[in-house]
Amino acid sequence: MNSKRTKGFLAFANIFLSLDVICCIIPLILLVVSSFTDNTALIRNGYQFFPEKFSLDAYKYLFKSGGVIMRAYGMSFVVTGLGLAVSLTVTTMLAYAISRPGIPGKRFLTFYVFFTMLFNGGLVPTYMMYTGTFHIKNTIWALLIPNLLVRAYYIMLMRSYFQTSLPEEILEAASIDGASEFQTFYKVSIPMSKPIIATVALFTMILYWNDWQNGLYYITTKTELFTIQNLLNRMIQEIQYLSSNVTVGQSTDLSTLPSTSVRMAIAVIGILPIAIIYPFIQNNFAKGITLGAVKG
Amino acid sequence: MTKGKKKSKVRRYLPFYLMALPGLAYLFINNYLPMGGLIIAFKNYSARKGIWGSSWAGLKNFKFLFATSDAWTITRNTLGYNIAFIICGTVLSVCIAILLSEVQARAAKLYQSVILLPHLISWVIISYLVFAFLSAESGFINNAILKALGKEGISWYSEAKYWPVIIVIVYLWQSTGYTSITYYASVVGFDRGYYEAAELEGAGPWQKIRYITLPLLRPTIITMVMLSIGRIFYSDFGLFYQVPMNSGSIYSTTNVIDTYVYRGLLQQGNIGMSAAAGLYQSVVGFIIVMLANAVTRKIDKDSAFI
Amino acid sequence: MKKKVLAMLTIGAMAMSMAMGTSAEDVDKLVVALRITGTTPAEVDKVQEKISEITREKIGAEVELLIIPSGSYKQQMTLMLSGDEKLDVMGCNSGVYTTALASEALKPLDDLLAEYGTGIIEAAGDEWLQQGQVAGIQYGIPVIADSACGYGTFGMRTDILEKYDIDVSNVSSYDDMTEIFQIVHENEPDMTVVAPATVGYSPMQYCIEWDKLGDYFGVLEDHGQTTTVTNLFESEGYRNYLDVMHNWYESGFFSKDVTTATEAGSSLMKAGNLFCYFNANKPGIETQEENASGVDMTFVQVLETFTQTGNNWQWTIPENCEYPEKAMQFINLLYTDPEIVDLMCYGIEGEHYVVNDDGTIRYPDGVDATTVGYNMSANVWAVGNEFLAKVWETNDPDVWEQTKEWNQTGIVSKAYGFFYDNIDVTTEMAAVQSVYDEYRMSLECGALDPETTLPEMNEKLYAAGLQTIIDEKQEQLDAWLAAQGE
Repeated sequence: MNSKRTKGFLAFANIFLSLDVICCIIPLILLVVSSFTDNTALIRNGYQFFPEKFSLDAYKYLFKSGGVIMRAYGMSFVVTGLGLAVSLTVTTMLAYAISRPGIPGKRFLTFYVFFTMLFNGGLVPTYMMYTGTFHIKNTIWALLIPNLLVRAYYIMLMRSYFQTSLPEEILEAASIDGASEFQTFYKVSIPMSKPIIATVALFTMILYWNDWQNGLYYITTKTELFTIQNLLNRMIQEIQYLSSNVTVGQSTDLSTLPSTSVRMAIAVIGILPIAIIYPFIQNNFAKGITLGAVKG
Repeated sequence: MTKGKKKSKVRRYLPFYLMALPGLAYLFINNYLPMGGLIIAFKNYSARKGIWGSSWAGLKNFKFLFATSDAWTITRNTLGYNIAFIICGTVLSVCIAILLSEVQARAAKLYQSVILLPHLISWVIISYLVFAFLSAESGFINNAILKALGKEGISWYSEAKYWPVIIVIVYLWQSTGYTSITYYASVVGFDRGYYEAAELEGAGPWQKIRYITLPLLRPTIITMVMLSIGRIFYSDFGLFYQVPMNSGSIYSTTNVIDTYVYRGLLQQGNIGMSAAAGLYQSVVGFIIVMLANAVTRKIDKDSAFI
Repeated sequence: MKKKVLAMLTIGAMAMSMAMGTSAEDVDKLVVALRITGTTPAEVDKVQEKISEITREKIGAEVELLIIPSGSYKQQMTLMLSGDEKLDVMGCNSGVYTTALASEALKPLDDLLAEYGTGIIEAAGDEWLQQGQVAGIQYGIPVIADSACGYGTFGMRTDILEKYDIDVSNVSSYDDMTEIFQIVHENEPDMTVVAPATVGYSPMQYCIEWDKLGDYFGVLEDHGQTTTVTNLFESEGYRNYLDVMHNWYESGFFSKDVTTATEAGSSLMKAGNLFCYFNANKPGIETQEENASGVDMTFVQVLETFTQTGNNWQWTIPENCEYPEKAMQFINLLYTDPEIVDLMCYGIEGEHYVVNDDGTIRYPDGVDATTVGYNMSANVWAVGNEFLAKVWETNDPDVWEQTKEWNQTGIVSKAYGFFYDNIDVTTEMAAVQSVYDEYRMSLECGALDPETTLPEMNEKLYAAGLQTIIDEKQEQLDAWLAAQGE
């Protein structure tokens, strides 16, 4: 058909997106290169794309206590996996319910959800409730439940998608065929909403993976519950301590302690798993659902 | 149809209420129950007497927010940056989402993976990366670019006038990939039938975007903008504290409500005052978002948010 | 008959359960929170069990150590104090202490101290203990550690001094330092000449000639030899300091990035591009800093050695405490019992440390800082009575004697022992703090010209309520001085 216009447009789109990708990736290359740079060179010359001297010290240091890191990784996977499963189920159901037209109290329920985005009681009352009433301090629940499980933001995103991309006629059609609301939800609505579910799944996953605050507030003695983020935070503190302290430093070879490059290595280690998993989630973004097909 | 109408209203909608129940219950516990604690904002908090037993402070805890000549600056900065973020962020991420949906699937996948990455990095690390570019002694901009142009180096961290641009760029760099995914999910969910019909009638790519994609995206854009407006009095602490390296000389363009509160209360850790600051931000955000919603409702009832 | 048997059984069961209860629960458990620079040691459980063995016998209580890294300590304590979580003994730096006082989360200790803390009173003395009083009421027990501080101390690379044949024996003022810096700057143009010691702090933290009375807003000038509270930022001493720094900055002695530095002075020196950084003199300073920087260093001090008030680590008993008497008895042990002090600082002998022939201690063979199960040696000064602790082998064996002597040298502020409570001026404090933050680093690292900037800052400070704070401080100080006179 109008192939000339389409080709020109495609070229434009590719150039624009490539430029964006380059902007995004340059600082990341710097991050990775710095993590492999010799620490002394890093302090002396600043961050460089082509460092004076490469070194693996940062990673060697981090994996010196390898067992601990792998354990924390494991903890992060468990927490992220569990959190994602529960969170996604609860969020999708709630968003779906308040997206259907004609439900009595729909506006109130939407407001009820949205209001939690604007107001919160603050850290102190939340902490008091979770430790005083629910006793979740130093348990795995503390990593899963407070503030992460259901977020108004994601509910609103999903609701918006359901409202615009799930035409009432199709759902009506399903219910004429004798499907219950739950069946319609499960067999028709969810498959049609794969892109937004994948999006919210990704966001939730990042949220759980990157969270360090729950660990910081609620995990004080049971350090075996630390996730990778908590562990990495502690490691940064430990490095500052080792590199600025006397007595402890004595029997360690301080010249090999990579105080600055290790921060960069920690950032790399922290984002690696998500970067690896992400392409698999993307398969859900396959476009080309033609509603006509579903109708027919 | 008749079958559905015959059902009583309750029975018809009961399944939806059941679906909503777990989420609503969680929000009640996690968000609504602690809200009672907001009362601390009006109390002289005493651990000995507890939240309820503490004496009333009236509006005293709010006073520090307006106690310096900075009150205007921080309000202006907070609002100004958020408006800039909403406008630039929305335009850019909608553009990216639409373009992503047009290019070959494989390329889209690659682009999408890369532009999401910045969102995964913490602000502390981002601040080091920004420093690598802006440092007066070893930064790339001074050493590579300005030197090559034969220009004098700039001490970026003490020149307030550059920071509105720097902050917006860093924000867009960090967040656009993330927000564009939401729009992208909407776009790929659109009924392909519309596009096929348009193609048969000879519509080009620009026309399809103009007459199909954008109108269909409108509700999503409105939702996203409303969500941002609700938090218009908040700002990302890391972006405004870590990235400018807490440099005092550029406070006039980097100080926002969150950083002001943090600095003012760092030494004292006064619970009542920090609760007051949070409440102030929430109330203003609430008023603005309700106004915006009312306006939208008036213009176009169907697109109204609530 | 049946009934009787049943009753017997019941009684028996009750007796059994009581007996079992005794072994597990009869001993009270004290939760003790303390801060660590670094990370929580892996083998806290072992150490607290050893400590409990002693305390069970001496005070009839067990101890649970809650060791929290410094980065999150204040946050964690604020959270724990606001709920009704059990916390019996809490270590406080000035930040945690002020916060806890403001929210009335601490128990008054006067009676407990008199009854159960006689060892503390003996070890610390009444004058020392005054630092833990607020308006005459004892809320904290200040730890015994070095109090005098040798201000205006510079640590320089010895090799560079030798290379250019610089003699430091007569150095006694900022001007003398300027001369040295000039020589180094001319000969080593690529080297940063001088840097602050700590990231996020200006050199001013080590260049103090006034009693800052806790927070710099309202000070006693002239090393606290006056009793009139004045505005530091209008004082001659502060202005003089700023002029020196501005001169150094303009001369190129500081890095251009000094206000946003991301590396501590010692790391910069280790990397090889720094000649000198600021410090505070005290016994053992050379070993301490040479270990951190990895090079030979020479130290000179150009300001007075001086003891100001406040700033001490304190032990406190929170309102959430279940057994206040036992808590005080435990604190008492921290000031009197060397065995407990060593366990707290270094862990278990033979396992976490071994003793050398000269009485100093070191890691056991094959163990180092990264693998040891317990070591809090960076926090020895915060444990109670540091003079009871063993000495790590990197220090002089008689470092405690030197420290005791050192504490007697130098000028002592007239306000020594006074604690300023800012609860009535919190609004002004927040406002003034944010004004000061705006100028602090760039002014005190010399990047800004004091001639124009200082008046501007003062104007904003007064607008934010500085005078109210000064007046409040003066009032509290006068009351305290009057009480001293009695």
